Amino acid sequence: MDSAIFKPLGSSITVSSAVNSNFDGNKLVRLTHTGTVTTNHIITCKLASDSSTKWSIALTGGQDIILEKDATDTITSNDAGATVTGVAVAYRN
Amino acid sequence: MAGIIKPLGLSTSCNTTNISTFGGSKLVRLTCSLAHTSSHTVTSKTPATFNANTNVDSTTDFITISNHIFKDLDAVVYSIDSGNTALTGLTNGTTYFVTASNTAGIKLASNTLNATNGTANNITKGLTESGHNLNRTNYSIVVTGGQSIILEKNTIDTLSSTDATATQLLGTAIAYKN
Repeated sequence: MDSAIFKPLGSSITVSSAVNSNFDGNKLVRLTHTGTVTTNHIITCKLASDSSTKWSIALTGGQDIILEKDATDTITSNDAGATVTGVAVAYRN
Repeated sequence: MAGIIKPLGLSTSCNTTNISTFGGSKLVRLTCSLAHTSSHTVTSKTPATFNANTNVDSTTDFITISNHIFKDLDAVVYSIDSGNTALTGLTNGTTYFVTASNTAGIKLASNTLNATNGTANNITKGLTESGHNLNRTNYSIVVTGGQSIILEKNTIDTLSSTDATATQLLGTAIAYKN
C-alpha cells in the first residue's frame, strides 16, 4: 500500500480473540495479518452498547487493510495468537 | 489495496453452493486464503424467477418478470427448481437469447439470429409453479491465493465461486473510498 499516506495515531496492538478495542475512539484502523497466506482471520466489529456484531471481514496472511468504524465500535478477531495487529490511523490519498 | 473499507455486513463464504447477493450491496470484497499458486474463480450472475402459469402468455410468448434488468440479445440459462416442470417450448438447462424485452418482461429465442429478428420460441403456459429461473452470466474472475479483490455488481446480481470447501473464499459487502 504505497499510493496513499496514513498517519499512525497510537501504538500497534495485537488484535486477538482476547482483545476487544475501540482504538481510543478512532474511526480508522489499519490491520495487518502476518501469518500464513492459507489462514484467514475474521475481523469483527461490535457495538459498544450491547457487544452485538455489526460487521465482519476476512483478512488472510500477508494482507493489510484500513477499516472504517464508528468511534465507539470495538474491533476483535478470531486469532488466538498474535498474528493480527492494528493501529488507529489518519489517512489521505 | 489502498483505500478505506467500510464493511456493511457479516463475512460469509462465497462458494459453489452459497450463491449470494451480499444483501444487495453493489461492492463486495472477497479474500482468498489459498496458497499463492492456487486460485478460485468468482462468477457473477443476474437471476430472475417467474411463475410458469401466471407470468406466461401462451399467445404472445411473453414472460412477465418484474424488476428485471435483461436486455435484448442477452444469453440466459433457463432452469427449474426440483419438483417443477419445464415449460413446453423451453428445455431445462438450455441457453436462450432475450428478445422483445421491455420493463415488464421478455421473450426468449433459441439463437441470436432469431433474437435479432424478434422470433421468439413458442411457449405454453404451464402449471402454477414459481421455481422457473433465468440466469445471465455477467463475468467471471480469478482470485489468487493471498489476494483480496473488490467487485462491483448490480444489486440483484449473485456471486458464487469454485470453492467447494466453503472456507477458502470469504466475502463481505462494503462501501469504499480511496
